[in-house]
Amino acid sequence: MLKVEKSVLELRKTLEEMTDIVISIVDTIRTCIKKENFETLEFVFQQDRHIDDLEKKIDQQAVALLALINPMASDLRFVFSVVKLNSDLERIGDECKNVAKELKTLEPPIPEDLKILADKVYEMVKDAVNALLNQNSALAQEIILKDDEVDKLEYSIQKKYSNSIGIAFAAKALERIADHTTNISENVVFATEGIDIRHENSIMNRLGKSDK
Amino acid sequence: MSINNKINVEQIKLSVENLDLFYGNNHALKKINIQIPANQITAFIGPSGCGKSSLLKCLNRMNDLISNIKITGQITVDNENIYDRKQDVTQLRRKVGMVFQKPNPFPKSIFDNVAYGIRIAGIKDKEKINNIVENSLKRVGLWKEVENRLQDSAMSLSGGQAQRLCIARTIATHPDVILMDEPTSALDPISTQVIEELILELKESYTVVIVTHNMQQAARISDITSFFYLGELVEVNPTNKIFTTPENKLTEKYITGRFG
Amino acid sequence: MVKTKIYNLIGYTIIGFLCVSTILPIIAMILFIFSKGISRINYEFLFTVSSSMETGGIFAPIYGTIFLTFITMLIAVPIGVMSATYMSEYTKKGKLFYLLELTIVNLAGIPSVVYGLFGLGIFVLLLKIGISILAGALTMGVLILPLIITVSYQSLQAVSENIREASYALGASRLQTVVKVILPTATPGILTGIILATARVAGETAPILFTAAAYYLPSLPSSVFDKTMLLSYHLFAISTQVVGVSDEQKYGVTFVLISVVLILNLLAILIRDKISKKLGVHK
Ligand SMILES: Nc1ncnc2c1ncn2[C@@H]1O[C@H](COP(=O)(O)OP(=O)(O)OP(=O)(O)O)[C@@H](O)[C@H]1O
Ligand SMILES: [Mg+2]
Repeated sequence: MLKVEKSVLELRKTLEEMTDIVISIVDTIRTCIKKENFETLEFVFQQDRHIDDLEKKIDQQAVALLALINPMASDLRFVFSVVKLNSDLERIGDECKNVAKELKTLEPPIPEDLKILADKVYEMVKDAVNALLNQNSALAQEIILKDDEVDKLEYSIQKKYSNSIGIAFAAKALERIADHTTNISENVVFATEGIDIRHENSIMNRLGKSDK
Repeated sequence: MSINNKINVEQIKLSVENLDLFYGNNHALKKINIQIPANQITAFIGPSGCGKSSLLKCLNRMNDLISNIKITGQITVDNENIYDRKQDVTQLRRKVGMVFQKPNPFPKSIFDNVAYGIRIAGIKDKEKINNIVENSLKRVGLWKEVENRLQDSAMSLSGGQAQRLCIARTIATHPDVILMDEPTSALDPISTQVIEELILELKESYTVVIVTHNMQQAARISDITSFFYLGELVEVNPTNKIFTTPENKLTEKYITGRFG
Repeated sequence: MVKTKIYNLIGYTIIGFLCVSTILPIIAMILFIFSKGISRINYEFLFTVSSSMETGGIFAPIYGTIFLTFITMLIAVPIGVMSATYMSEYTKKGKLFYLLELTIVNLAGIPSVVYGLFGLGIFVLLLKIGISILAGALTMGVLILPLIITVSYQSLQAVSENIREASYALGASRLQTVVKVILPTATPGILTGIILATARVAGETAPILFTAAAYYLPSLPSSVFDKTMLLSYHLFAISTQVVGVSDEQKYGVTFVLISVVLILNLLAILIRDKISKKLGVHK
């Protein structure tokens, strides 16, 4: 195996550790909401330090890789995208903590809408990680499309439950998690195809460009 | 650093059209089409034996010295076909100068090395020669190092100094284009850096075409990179594009080091 | 470690021994001749033209030898160097070239007495130059041409291709490249050839035997059309033809002959080194 391949693989392994944890805490959040049972929420807080450490480790590995191996083209784009989506992953962890904090203030029953939102967000995170680890641009693009649904759902929750700060905040945090998965997906598209689709106005425009 | 994803074709200095080159039966260059813009640095990269040097040597007809070579197609410099019958080769080489892989100073004094090109071009005025030598040596940042020993043999210079001397010797004849065939491959990192900086400066006044095996070097200094493989020009694109998002799979493979 | 050291020691000893065994005979010979001939060396011996062969000064042959060597070089060096340049820089390496090369190699192997007869036939008789320094120099010239050509050719070939390319790339024509770069660069090597040739000219006897040498002349030659006495032939004459020459006289002449050759060599080496140094090449 080439040195560059080895180094990229090592980076990937750390990345996988990170995504495993991120998925598990988002899953915890989802399950807690679904089952209206907050006993396992502690897990989310426990993982926080772990995530922070991994974030640092990924950055260190990436910097070393850039400095020592001088990756080019797709390797370069992969490393660059990992550096960027690394912080999105860490922020997902933070947002999970925020959701958990809000959940602790709530008493069941939990509104059905929030359960649906949590489900959707979980699916998005899972897909984003899947797209990332398999460098699947098509999947990443689908996730970006889903973001709108989440935004709408969150908006309606905000309206409906404006009297319950806990629910509104939890929905807001879940929506932010979805935003981070969009960022991750954008980075996956960049890594795989070399196109930067951020800040494009319409979704059609974004994806039209990546049709090539 | 400006991000450049399109080749600026405003002013084409050199243009190669449908160039084929054979060494006997060896078809070393196949239907090459490339345009080289003025005042930019164009890098040729590609695996060993892909024809980079061969193409470079076509550009100032250094291949004329090789027997059993056949070249078809057209190369124009400033819209004049250099393979035209009327083309004076010595004139062409003054216009399109060349720096080689190994520093190759003449076994003459430092001064005579730099003065060689202009002397054979017929310049006799001592004052003028002195000025040109001094300016050329200053241009390559060698003047301070050698001003007190201009009459010493050029063979006494270090590798990096000798290569800068060779560049000075080339710019003394005031070419429009400077071709460089792996100019730093025989040098240490510091000398390499000095020469890279020099090449970047030269681009203000000259069109530079450089063959290099060092991809980092191509990435660092060139504006446009062309990738050659087995005698074919696979991809030409702005350097920034080639090294981040190459269009061709082969280029990608070569650049990421996953070749063969 | 110890083993390597021992091997090294043995190796060096053998090489050193072989080295000494090549140098020793030369030194011994020079010392021998020196010891026997030195007593004869004085101003009068070196710088007067003698009135007899058995004793007296040998300025005439010394002068003749130097004169002839000089004229020979004047003739042979330009022709030889130009031929070598032509072969190295202008011909294609085809059949004709190899024929030429072969001829030159063969010429170098012909016994010198054959050159002498050739010179007699062509220069002295056919061209009616007569026995003279010129005829001798021409003959000697032909004799050393192969040497000069071969050595010059090799040193021209040794000029690195990089330097030629550099010259062409600066817009030089072929002639300019040859004259301004290749020949100067090859000069030290060419001079080595000339040194060897010089020594040969000063020492050879057979080629000048019929073409230039006089048995005895009471005066110095005044032009290239005169005959001349020559050290090598003089030595031959007093050793074999004339009776009653003292050993001291013979060794004296021998000593001078060797010295002339050595001095000519030394001079050439000094010139070569000076040029090498100027070019910055170390040969
Ligand atoms: N003078 C020559 N005569 C015959 N064949 C030649 C000659 N010069 C080059 N070739 C052949 O042409 C092909 C291209 O050679 P060229 O020197 O242009 O490659 P290159 O890309 O410069 O390689 P490198 O990176 O090793 O310098 C090779 O197959 C080589 O063997
Ligand atoms: Mg080459």
